[in-house]
Amino acid sequence: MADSDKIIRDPIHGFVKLSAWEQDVVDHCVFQRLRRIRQLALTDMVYPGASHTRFEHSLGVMQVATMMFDQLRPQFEELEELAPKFTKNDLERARVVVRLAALLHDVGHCPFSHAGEEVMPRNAATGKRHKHEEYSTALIRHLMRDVIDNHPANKLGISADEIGAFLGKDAGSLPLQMLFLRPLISGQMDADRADYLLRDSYHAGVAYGQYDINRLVATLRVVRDRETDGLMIGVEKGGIQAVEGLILARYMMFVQVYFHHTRRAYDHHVTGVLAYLLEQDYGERYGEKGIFPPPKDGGDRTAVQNLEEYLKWTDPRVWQAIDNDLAGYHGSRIRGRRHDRRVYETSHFPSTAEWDEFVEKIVPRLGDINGYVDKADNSWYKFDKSADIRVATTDRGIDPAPVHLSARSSLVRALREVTQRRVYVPWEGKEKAKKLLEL
Amino acid sequence: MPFDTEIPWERYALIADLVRRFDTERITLGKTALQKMVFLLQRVFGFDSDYAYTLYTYGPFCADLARDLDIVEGFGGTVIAHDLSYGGYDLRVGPATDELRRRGAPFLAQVSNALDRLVADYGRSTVKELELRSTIIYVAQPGRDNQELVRLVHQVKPHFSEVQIEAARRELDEKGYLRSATDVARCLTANN
Repeated sequence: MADSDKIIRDPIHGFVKLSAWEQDVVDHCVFQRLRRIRQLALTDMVYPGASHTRFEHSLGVMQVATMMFDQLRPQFEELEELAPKFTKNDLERARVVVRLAALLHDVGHCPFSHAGEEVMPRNAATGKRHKHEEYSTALIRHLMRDVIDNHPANKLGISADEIGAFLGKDAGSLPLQMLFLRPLISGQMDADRADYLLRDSYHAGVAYGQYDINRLVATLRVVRDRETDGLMIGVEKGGIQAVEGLILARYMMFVQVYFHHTRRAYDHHVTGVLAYLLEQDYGERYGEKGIFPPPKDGGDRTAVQNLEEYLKWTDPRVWQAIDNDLAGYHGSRIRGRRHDRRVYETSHFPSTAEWDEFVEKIVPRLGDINGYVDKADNSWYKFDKSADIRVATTDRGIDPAPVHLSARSSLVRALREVTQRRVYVPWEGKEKAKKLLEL
Repeated sequence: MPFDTEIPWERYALIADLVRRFDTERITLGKTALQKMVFLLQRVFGFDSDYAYTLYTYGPFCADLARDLDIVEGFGGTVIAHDLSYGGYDLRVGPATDELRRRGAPFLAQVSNALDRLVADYGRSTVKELELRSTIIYVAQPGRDNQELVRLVHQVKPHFSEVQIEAARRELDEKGYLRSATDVARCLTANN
């Protein structure tokens, strides 16, 4: 058990400080596994430096969430009219919960992060695939409970259930103070995006993800939405350019890195490899071929068994299969860098006429050729211009009359959501497909 | 592998249809009200448009719906004007509103009765009223009694009194919204 604070070097934020309790959480095997989960899957096939992991990103999110919390803290303390009145004790407790939640928000990732989410099992009720967030909350509740609930440094009665609720869907039971703070982890200016843009940009060796994080944090402001009276985290007038920088960074990183055509081809191959390996290992044990064990919640033995099985999946395990030619067709494509090739793409923002042409004329020309369509709006990193971020109009206190960012920023108004489609075919089918498309 | 050329016209059509309905009734439809109407459509009437909502201090919100609204605006399916009198937006009919509705006509035919009812019941409600009601629906769970429901909603909406929350809860109950929402939630829980 750790007995004192520790400082860890970080290439983005300089130093990240961990309490003794947080060190024990970091040392837990569920968190240590993140050292073996790449942040950006096979992006290094395009940008060789992009081999960083979820481990360092998670530390970074904790650091940024803390910076944001500490910026807002004096506003909680000084402003009488703040509806969710925080006592000193509440504030200290909230800070610990925010830090732990930020640290643990990604523990549920599967190998190669989002690229593997296509083979997560489906929720029987909704028919939709589970997401890594559901694994994160299940892992926190079932496998990390002891290091949270029973840690000697936990003098504030913080529970794994509370951290899980803060990160998960069961927000209806959260006290207002914590509900107010949720956007720090999951919102339009959250610590997650604030960290990954800088970190991914740094490791990929591109400058597109850079923005002024210090200015952004320094201008955070509590505002009251005029329509609903709900409290929100907005920015001061002087923070508009910092927010514009963040949104522009998001747009540029989406176009240049996250939705890079080769990177997306490798996402497809990773999905294929995982589906193959999961089918080899489990058959139909979990009800469908080629899926991960489900994050069944509820505290029963099945949940723990499933989660322990899930945790065995890491990038090195998958790489070992690829290197030994045990990962099927898609594995061989990755090993030989013979990825699927993009043979057609729409504009970033197709009009209805362009959609019609794509669906009715372009794709049918390919006949029965093997291939697939990739959609920008299906990408986990899809661009979101966040036009609804609120900007304060007064100088001090909770701002009672904030305006939407898009009302103040012509740059944000001009940006559009990317809905591009691309057509991919196997490496050797590229020439044939191109000829068919030229007809 | 077959080429999947699916485009989510249903989602875009739903937004365009709500814009058209409110415009026809000459009621202002803002972004927040749109969020709450689609939430109620999903949770009370059980029509799943694949929008995942998260609860914030200002009620249930879905980032994908906000994004789709921007896409609809890009198509000309709505014109979004800032209404500085209340710091919000006014979604008006655009040049392609009816074209988008046509593209999602089969889906709109399925949800038409539910939308009629929703707009009749809550189309003229203020955003604050919609926010409270959608939060009650969000927090309502099978087996959660009325007192607990009111207490939890008051916890996250202290600017509403417990009397106001109870009145809204009763109204939702009388309209059948609350039972319907808990039935949808029960179905999801049972199958999960």
